[in-house]
Amino acid sequence: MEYGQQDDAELMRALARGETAALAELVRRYQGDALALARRTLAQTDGAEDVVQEAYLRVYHSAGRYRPTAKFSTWLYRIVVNLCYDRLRSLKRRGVALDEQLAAPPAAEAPEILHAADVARRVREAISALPPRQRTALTLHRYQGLSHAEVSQATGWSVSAIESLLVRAYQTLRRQLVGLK
Amino acid sequence: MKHASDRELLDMLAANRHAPEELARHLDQCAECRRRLEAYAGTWDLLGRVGRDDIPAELAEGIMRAAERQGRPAGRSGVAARLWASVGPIGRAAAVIVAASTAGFAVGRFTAPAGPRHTPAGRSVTSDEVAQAVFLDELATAPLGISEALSMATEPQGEEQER
Repeated sequence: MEYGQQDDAELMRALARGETAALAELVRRYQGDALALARRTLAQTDGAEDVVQEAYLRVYHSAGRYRPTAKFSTWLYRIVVNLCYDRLRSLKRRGVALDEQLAAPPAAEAPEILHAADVARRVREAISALPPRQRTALTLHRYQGLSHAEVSQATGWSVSAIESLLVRAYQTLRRQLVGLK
Repeated sequence: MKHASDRELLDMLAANRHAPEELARHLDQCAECRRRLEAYAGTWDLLGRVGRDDIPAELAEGIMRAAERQGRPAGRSGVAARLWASVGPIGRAAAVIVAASTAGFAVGRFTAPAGPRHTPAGRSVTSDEVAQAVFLDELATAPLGISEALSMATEPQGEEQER
């Protein structure tokens, strides 16, 4: 059976039948997006790879109960988001100063022309400085290409909350990145 | 028309589409909204310059190793799943009734008061009944679902086919 030509729902059915190779194909398809989402949601904190691994293990163990009512990717993102917030809450309980760490925006600098790598770094820093929920909504919207409704499905937050988070995130980034070419 | 909302401007950028007619007319006439749209578009483009994240080569391997360590997912086994899918809804209902009956029989058999068991006069126990009792003993050792019961019932046939 050629897993590469099957859609996600077919792969999940194969996985439910115990065909572990179907998991490898799902990993190949979505590990990059899942990792990007975890990295941006966790920002400067470690553990994005652990989150992605744990998310796929949950997919693996839940395969028999999966029903394709939503896109597989949206379901996977929701698991990733939940795991990231579990981790952030756990760090907060242990006294890690997340808020201070994450709230410091990069200093606005005079308009300048930077090398591509510097631009990418500055953009990453600006995203990392957003509050966690704004980071998550922005990442799903801008980088995963999800609509507002899909971001809502992937996070469990209301559509109106998503719209508000996105507007604030883009406005903040617009201010932070002003002058960057 | 009132000024364009942030959401309308962001939706345009996200969908990479032209403004709807009414919004387009407003943008033509409103320098303030055009300025906001251009600012958002600039931010949108900058965000796209982050590039793809590096994926550590060992991530996929780690996931597959962990999955193999933890065993098969909690679904129906291959033989049982195929059988379950092939019998149709009536067959599945019948299988549930048979499984419930046999489980009830097994429970009754092991919870009946101790004492001599009597075989009806003139009837001897057949080897098939002994075999069924052994099978029910297996069922009674742990609460089993229908898929497990089906797989127990079908596995010997599969082995015979392979031979």
